[in-house]
Amino acid sequence: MRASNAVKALTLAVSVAWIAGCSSPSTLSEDDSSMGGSATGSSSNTYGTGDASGVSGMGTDGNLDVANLKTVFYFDFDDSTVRADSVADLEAHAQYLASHPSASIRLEGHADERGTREYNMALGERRAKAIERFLAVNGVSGAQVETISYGEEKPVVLGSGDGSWSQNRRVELKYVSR
Amino acid sequence: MRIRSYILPVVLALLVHICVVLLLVPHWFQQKQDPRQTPRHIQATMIDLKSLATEVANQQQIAEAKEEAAQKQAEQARQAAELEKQEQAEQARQAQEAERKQQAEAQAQKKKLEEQKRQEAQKKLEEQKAKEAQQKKEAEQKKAEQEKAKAKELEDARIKKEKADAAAAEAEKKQLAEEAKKKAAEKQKQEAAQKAAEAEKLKAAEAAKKKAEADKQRKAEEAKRKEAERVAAEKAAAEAKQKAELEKRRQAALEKNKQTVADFSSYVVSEISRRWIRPATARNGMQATALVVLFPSGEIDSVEIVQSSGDLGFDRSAENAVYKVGRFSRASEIDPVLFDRNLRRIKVIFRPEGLRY
Amino acid sequence: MKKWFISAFLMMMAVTARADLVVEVTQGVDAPTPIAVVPFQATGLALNEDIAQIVSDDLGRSGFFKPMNRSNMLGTPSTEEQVFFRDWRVSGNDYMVIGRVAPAANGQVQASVELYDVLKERKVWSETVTGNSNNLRDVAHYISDQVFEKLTGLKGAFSTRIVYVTAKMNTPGNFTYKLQMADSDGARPRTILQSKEPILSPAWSQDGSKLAYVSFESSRPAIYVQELATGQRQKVQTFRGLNGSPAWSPDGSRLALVLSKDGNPEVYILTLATGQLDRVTHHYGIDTEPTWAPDGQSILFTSDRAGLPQIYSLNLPTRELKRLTYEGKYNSRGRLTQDGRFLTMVHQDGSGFHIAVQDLKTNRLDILTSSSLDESPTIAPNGSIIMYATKKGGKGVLAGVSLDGRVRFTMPNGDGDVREPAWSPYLQ
Repeated sequence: MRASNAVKALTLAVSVAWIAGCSSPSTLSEDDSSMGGSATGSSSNTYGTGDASGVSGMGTDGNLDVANLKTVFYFDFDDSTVRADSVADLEAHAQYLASHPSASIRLEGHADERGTREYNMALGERRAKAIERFLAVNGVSGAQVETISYGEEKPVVLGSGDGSWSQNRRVELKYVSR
Repeated sequence: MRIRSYILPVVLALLVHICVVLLLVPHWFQQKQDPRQTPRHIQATMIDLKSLATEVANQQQIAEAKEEAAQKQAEQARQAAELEKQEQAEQARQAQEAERKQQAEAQAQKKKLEEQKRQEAQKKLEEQKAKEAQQKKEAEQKKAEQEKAKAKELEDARIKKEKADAAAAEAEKKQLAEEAKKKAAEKQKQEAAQKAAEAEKLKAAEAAKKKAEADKQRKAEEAKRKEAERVAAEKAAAEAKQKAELEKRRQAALEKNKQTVADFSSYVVSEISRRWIRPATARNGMQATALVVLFPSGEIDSVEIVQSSGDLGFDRSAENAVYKVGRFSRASEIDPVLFDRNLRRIKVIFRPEGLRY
Repeated sequence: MKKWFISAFLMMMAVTARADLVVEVTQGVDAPTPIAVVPFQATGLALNEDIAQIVSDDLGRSGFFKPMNRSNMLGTPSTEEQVFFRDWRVSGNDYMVIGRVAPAANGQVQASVELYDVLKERKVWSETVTGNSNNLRDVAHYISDQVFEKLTGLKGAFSTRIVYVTAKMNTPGNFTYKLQMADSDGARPRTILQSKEPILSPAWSQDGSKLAYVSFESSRPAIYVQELATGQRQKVQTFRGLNGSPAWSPDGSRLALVLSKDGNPEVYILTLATGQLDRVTHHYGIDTEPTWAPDGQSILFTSDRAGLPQIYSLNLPTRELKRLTYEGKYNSRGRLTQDGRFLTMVHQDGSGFHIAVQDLKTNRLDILTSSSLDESPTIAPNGSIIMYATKKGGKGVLAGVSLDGRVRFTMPNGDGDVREPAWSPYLQ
């Protein structure tokens, strides 16, 4: 429908112009690149560029910022320590949650298929709780976080081998309310 | 004439005799010879004891010859050993002497060194003495003058002593005379005592002679007795040797039997082991005993668990193992007497080793 | 007369005074006992089950017997007169089973079975079993139990059931989970519970009447107790955090379970009648997967308090803690045999996760499987077989191994990935 496309393009151009007036040049370019992409909103599997400056919390339209963040955090085998590559995005989530007390999340912990099921339930919970503690340290209230473990029961990748296993050892961060 | 009254009895008598003969005839002519069955396991052979004796004697000679040979070998060995010992002793001596020489030389050297030291010391001493001598001469001159004065005093004292000594000498002479008289009296007493003692000695000597003669007789009799005993002992020894020979033969036979029994035992164990399926319920420490009775052919007469392991599967596996052998064929090769006495009934103890649990 | 008797007696004594030879056999072959289960004769009947084949498979799976291959049988006798024991002995069998199936009153079916000792050429057992055409499998399992018991002295476990979980992926991240029950050989499966959310840790009560399991159907993990006869179930009190690993006490009055409400996974004991909860472990590490000892006096559980998971035993009256596993860096999910002597577990070594057995009498550890993704061992009530979950060709399947590791088998394929088997106790 060419008409609706034209309307969309107009509104985008207007909002671009409006934001350009408030933000620094770097944010403008970033917004450009992300908005020029997919039509739908948050794709939870995008990987952050590691450039945190774009999410300095100043933007009032925070939903879009959080939508760009990682929501899946991976772990090493039989380990529940938060990895370095998770820290930046977690801090960003923490800042958002701290500034939006009505927002709440659910942390879902998982393990890979190796070992016994109930022990893996406990491992999944440990990982979820590690993320929860990290967020708490960064100012998130406990009431905003719910944790649950699925152990090895809900893998994202079926099959065996380090490739599959490393993708299943994860905690998924899901917004229950924003 | 009552001949008529005799006819009937005569006829009857004849009839009786004919009947008897008729009855006996078939028995005489149809008697079969029952075949004589010799029981299988009695295999008797006549043994001539005289020949045994000569055999025994032969074997004795062989044994003695062997012993002599053994003894010669032993002596040779001993001599060789002694030679070796002597050589070793000489070597040791030589070694010792060498050591002594070394030690002597060492000591000699030491002594030389010491003498040198002494000589040097003496020289030093002599020098010192020379100095001292001069000093002494001067001292002696002084002393000589003093001594002259003392000498005069000493002579005066001496004269006085001589007079006193003369008087003492006379007193001593009187004492000696009295002592001589005493000694003479004592000598007389001693001679009398000696005579008495000699008389007693003669009596004692006579008594001793008599005793000696009696002892000799006793010894002669004892000697005779001992001779008689020795002869008897030699006879007994000879008989004992014969018995010992027989014993050796018997023992050899027993050894052979033992060996047969041992061989059969390991045969039985290997036959059963090859066929024993140890069940899944078998555990270390389990044990069952089966009593197996065999026929002389080696076939199984019966198998029975006489001591259970407490596990049904284990007991069954033990019985099955024996049944699977079927026939212990080597039994038929064994002397039937030995088999019957020692090998017919076998207690098989199943005691598994090396199980996982 | 007296003298005559005495002398005769003495003579007899002399005659029987033989020495018994004594020998000792210590070595043999460690193998299952060979048995032939001859196909049953079915006179004028078209049966939908091959009873002799079920019996043969049962006996083989137990690890105690090696059934003869049908194709090697020279004949198929069905009565004693037709049996030439020598033939069966020569073909290597210690025992054989023959049988005849005939119609009986009320549309029922009668199976006359005989068990023979081939070596002694003697009958060991015979019986006539009556059944319906739709429960011939139960008839077959009954026969297997009898044969097993007559030859080993142990109670057969062929008429028992197993419970397990299947998971089928519909779309990525979207699964259908089922809790199913089947015969001990995997036949006749039926669904007890179906859910979109995970089901795990099914556990039989000791009397075989109830199942406890964990279900996420309420969006959080919760423990349920379900009565099998009626299908009625009850959710056990749930807490924040983990609710898992239910284990029945031998007398059925209590459940050991795992809760993380106090900060980290700990083992608790719940008295079902009163709801009273007793905390049993107090350590910041993970304590999970409890199981009761057969005498009910102690609980075994998995704990990683020493770094990686190992199995510990806690004596309930004295609260004395003892570590049981020292070999290997990862030992978890322990289960005990009914006599309390053997502990089966998941053991990790350089080549993966295997099922292992530890003899608690000697602490000897034996690894029974060579596959590398094994889990969830469960033991038959007579201790003969351990069933477990593994992966074959990328798919989850159930497999079994005998306690001594001699015999292994795989269960028939299920609907999706099969996991978490739980073996029932003896059932009436």
